[in-house]
Amino acid sequence: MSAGYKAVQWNAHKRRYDAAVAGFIVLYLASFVGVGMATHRPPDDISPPILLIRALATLGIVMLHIILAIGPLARLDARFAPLLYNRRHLGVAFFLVALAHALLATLFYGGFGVQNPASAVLAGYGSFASVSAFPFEVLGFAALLVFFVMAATSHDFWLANLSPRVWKWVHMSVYAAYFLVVGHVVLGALQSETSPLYAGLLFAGVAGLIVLHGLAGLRDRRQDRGAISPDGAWVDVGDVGEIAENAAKVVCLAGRERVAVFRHGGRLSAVSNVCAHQGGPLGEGRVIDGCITCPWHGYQYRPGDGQSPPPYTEKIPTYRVRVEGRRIMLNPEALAPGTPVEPAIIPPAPEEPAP
Amino acid sequence: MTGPRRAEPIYVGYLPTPERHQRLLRVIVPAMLVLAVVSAGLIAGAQRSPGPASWSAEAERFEGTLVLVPYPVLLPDRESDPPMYLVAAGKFGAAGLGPLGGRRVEVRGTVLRRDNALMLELPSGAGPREVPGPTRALQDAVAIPVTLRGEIVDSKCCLGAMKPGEGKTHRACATLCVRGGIPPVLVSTADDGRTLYTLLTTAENGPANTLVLPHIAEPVTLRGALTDRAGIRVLAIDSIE
Ligand code: FES
Repeated sequence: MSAGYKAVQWNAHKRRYDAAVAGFIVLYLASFVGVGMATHRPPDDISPPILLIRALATLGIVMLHIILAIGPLARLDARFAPLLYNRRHLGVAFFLVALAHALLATLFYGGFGVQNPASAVLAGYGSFASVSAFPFEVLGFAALLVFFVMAATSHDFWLANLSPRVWKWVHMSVYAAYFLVVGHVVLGALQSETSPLYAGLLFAGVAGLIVLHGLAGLRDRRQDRGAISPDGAWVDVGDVGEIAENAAKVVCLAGRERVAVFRHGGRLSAVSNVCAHQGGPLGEGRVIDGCITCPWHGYQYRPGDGQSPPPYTEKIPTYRVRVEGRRIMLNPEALAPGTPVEPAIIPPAPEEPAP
Repeated sequence: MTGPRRAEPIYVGYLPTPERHQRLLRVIVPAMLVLAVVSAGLIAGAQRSPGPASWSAEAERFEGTLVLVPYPVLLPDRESDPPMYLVAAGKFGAAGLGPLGGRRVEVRGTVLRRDNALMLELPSGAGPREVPGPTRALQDAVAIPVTLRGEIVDSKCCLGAMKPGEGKTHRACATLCVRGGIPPVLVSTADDGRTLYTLLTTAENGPANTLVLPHIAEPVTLRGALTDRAGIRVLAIDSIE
């Protein structure tokens, strides 16, 4: 969090996550090179540098699909949250794989000649108007630049200094870069590698990601469909019985940010649903050790004032809330981030005595 | 009921992992590792075969007549032995051999071979040396007008310097090789299914490197005059489409 920036903050979970990512990379490369050499024996062998260039290329594409699938998977099923928690390390590992592919391909295909390797590969031939002559390398290079900016700015230091809006925008450009990669493959390797397996896998990857993102978007849309249009100062947003202890109900107010109404220790507190870290859905979090805890990376806020406990300094907007009978009444006006609001006491109900 | 519902615990990275998340992780992590091995194997196994070609590691010594067709070629003494293209190290043609044209020379180099086509890479700084002995002359063969369809590549990668040494992903490399003076060849398929390698020249029998540059690694149709010079198919290009 923002108390101070270390290069990377480690804990046991992150170490296990990184070990799994490293294992995945090593197993993939070993299997690709091993099978490639076993199935293509001399004199029909593939040059070892080309085998490695291809192993890194296909590994990068597999990793990119996994990275892009984790977000919607975690939104659809919270059990995938552990994969999301440390996704930035996976992103940086993917960038290094893509970089190794680019460097090796540039040196091998563009080196040893009359031109410098980069210009031989990026400006050596071609026409942007033709499929067969399209310099597909340029697309890969553009994607790599985007991935570089993302990897270089993935740390919280940048998040705090770039403003979450800019940061989010930078990280949304991954989708543009993804389609640059697809173009790089379609106009490059698929022009000469004719096995239907490759075209089929790529198609399945693109289609799979579109479906996953569509499903996750539908789920969000369904939440918004019940949006309440606030017409007065206070709106009825539901029954206290709907909210489990230490959890929240997410309230969608037409035209405004969502609000998370938490129930904790017989009281209610309402805060913005948007985490100050990376916009995680706080309403899907829990109150842990007396603090609202974000389900994405575990940032915490006190329910009473929306502030992170010291030494942390994050603040989120709070809302006024009260209970009338069993109904929750919310004032839709957001208060400045970190404004203290007295939690509303839930009166004991005959069928639900206060804890 | 004795109190409000209990919510399912969420996962927080710095706290112990709840049981329901652990259950999924125990399945998904091993599954991902299996996916790594299986997907890599499938993708690697489906690669197109680059066909049989080789590049010897050890330098060998040859003697014969150096001719320019217009690219430097070594003609062995026996007519039944295949001629050898001569190139330099890296992506460069063997330059500066003009004065030795028609002379008997001794060369050392590593051999690249695909089917019956042979090439010798001369180590840098050690070119052919003139030696005494008989020479062979190129017969002026009859030229036949032909139309050939195939892919233009650089002869060095194609004969085994890179495998595969053709196709779209190799295009930047082939372009660089041809720019550096490596003789361009047309790879085409004969009616009987054999792969044919045809050395390309301009209509005036000069090096065609500049002429073919924009057409490398693309499907092309070439029209021109085909000759056989000491066992090498040579096409003097009239037009490229
Ligand atoms: S988004 Fe990262 S902790 Fe909330």
